[in-house]
Amino acid sequence: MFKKIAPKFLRQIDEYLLANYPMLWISKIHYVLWFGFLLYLFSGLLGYAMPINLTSTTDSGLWYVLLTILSFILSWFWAYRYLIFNKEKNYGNLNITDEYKNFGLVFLCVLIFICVAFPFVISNNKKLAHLYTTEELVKDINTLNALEPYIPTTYYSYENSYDTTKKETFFNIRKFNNNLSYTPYYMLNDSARFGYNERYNNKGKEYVPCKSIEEVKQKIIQHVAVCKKYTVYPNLNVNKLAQTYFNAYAIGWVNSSAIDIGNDYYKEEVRIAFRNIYEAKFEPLFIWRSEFLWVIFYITVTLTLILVLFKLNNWRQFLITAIILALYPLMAFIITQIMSYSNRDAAFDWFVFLLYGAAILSLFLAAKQKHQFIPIYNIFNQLFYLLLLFIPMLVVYYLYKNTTIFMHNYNYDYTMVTSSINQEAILDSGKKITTYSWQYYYDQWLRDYWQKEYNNWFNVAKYGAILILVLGLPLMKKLFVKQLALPKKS
Amino acid sequence: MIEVKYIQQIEEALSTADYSLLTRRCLDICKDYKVDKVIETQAFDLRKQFLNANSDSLLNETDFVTKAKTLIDTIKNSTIELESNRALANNIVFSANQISKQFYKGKSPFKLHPVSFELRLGEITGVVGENGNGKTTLLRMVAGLLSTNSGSIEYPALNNEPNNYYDAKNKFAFIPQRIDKWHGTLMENLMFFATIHNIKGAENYRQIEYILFRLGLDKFRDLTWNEISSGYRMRFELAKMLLWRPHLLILDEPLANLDINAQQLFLQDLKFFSQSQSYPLSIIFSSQQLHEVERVADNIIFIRQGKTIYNGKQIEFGINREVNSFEVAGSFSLHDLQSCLQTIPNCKIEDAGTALIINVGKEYQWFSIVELINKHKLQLNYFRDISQSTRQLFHKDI
Repeated sequence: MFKKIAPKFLRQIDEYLLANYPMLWISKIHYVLWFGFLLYLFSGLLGYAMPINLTSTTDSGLWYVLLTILSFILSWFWAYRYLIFNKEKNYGNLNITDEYKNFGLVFLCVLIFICVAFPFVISNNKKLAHLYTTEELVKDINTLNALEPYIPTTYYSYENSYDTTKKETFFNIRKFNNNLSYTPYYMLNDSARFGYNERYNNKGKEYVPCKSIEEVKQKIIQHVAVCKKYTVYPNLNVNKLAQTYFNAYAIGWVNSSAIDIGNDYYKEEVRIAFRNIYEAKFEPLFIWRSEFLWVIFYITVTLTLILVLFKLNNWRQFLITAIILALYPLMAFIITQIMSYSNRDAAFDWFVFLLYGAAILSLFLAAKQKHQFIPIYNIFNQLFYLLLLFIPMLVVYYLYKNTTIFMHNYNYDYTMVTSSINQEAILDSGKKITTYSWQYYYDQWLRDYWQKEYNNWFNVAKYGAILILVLGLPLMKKLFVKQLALPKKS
Repeated sequence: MIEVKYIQQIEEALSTADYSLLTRRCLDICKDYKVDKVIETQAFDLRKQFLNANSDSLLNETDFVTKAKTLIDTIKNSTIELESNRALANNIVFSANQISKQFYKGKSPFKLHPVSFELRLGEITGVVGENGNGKTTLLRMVAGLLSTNSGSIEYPALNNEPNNYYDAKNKFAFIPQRIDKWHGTLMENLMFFATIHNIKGAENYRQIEYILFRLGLDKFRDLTWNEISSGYRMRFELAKMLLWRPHLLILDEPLANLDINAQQLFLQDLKFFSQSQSYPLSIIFSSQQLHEVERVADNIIFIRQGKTIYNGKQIEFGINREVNSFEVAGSFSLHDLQSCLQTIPNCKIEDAGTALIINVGKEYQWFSIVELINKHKLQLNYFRDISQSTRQLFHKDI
């Protein structure tokens, strides 16, 4: 299929690679790069062409999923082409260290397919970020913040009080509670760039009142205009709202049930719009966040391993491996539930360790095979490699959760600690402060220390497993091609 | 220098107007010897002219013969070296010592009884026997696809370390009776097989051109699996395997899908390939076509119900026989033949279904039998001397 729609130069590259570089040819990297480029271009253009919904990210999320599904479908065509020309099953010449190249090529191809929606996200985000200039955004946010006291859609924005006797809420429209309600949270924190310093001191502040009802109307109209600019269309009755405000201001404290101030849902939409624009401009995209990239990495490595193992093994053993991987956790879960262990999570972990123990043992047994292929060893060998990246992390996590190795269940002398934390001291200035005993600080230090130790060991397990997998690739190849060539029982 | 037999064969082919043989052997010279570009081009041109004449137009014989003579003269006057010296290496490629296999065919047990043999470079071994007697099982064990229940297998010339099956399989080829479907075009597959066996770049194209023209597959190069017949699939499979010059070629019932002419050509080619000067290979194949097998095989393994009835040199079969055997058929009955041959003492005639088998004393040669039949005016349609053929094993309960 790829060949039929490929340009001439690509077909020429294909033939050249076939005659000279079989590994590159088998991986079809040239097709993946070319069609990947076109797909990324499409994805990027689509992201740019898609209309922006300022108040919701659902649409772009949906497109992200659709593009990933499209890519997944296309990846099957590639995987089929990759799998049908099998050097190992045709006993071609082998250089064991070539497995690095093979694994790298498959990894790259899978990664290209997995990241197809990235250009969409980037271009869509760029479009959003450039819809309004920063100055414009800041100005509009400040405008809405400044106008907010004159748009009474909720009494929480004003100084308020609950009368426990009358069981009613009263609010004072003359004093405003939050003069920065439209400013996105991260923007507030970015004082270096935007200079917001008053965010914690905005309770019950007085503001300049309007002299006439017309002035209030003008402010409401100005408020609506800014909202509309950000595709939010408030359904406000300007005259009524202005009248309500003006009357309430004249009274001061007002019973909330005695006044109809509408709703402020649209204001939340405006806030979301500001937040989205701000994040598009200044916050790193979710696709560049380390947690997301790690997820992408593990998915890519696992898919790469699956493809490589499928190529190196008989499909029957591969299928059984896949079934075990799918059903074993379920079976372990059911057994642990039935057997009513005191610690079911730990029991489940032990089931996984048991499986992996067998997988490790199978490596030695398979290495000793000489005359006949034994399917069960092969299945466990595959399990070893498929779980290799995750088991070390699971072991560290298990030790953290269920043992005292990382002091997680450290037996504190709580009596001593708690009795020492509420002591009060009076400084020379007369100010009272709470002091803690050394045991408290020691306890805090211990907690931090062992948490860091756990994090360090978790990282050792995480990176160590990757290192072992990478270093062990030639051995993996040797192990499986040996089994591939061994005579079968029937 | 080129082997004298090569030159003789080519000259004989030219004189008998066997242009197929002539052009094929000229190409073989190009593969076996380090010939210069001129000879290679001439040999390819000649082959192309012959193949095109077969398919598109009539052969311009005068022009063809002139070109052939020029080529032969050029070859004769050239000093050329062998392309490779594989023939000088250890020539035992496979050795089986008392290997046996037992398994169930459905619910009934089957046992291939212990058998020992060796396969050497330059030799062809034929495995014959009736259906379901263990031929495929034996070949699958040779190919390292099936483990043995007892005995041992070795590939002395193929793997660097014992039991390294991958290493051995890298140097031998197995073509099963039911060929697995391949994907892509014939050319793509040939290039793939050459390149994964380290035949790359210009050499890749050179070897493919050779094998395509040598086996007459040139016009199929851009076809796919579904576009060629099962007979051509077998030839293509052979091309795919011969391309990378394996040391051992294992074929399971290769003649099954070939017509009679293709069979003759196929077997002749097997013989030539096995006796290649630069890249001799050992061939083991199974077949029901006993006489065709005997024509090319150096060794015969005859299996009946899992037991090896004969295992040895083809020419040595029947050397110590006590009787001569003949297979005859015609418009006469068993009784007619008995009456006809009653003068021969201890003459035994068996009905083998489509033919009658005559067993007589060693002193009676084929011509005396034919003479007697002729004398009695029996109409003879078919006659074959099977005294030194394993054909007679099909009729004996041993």
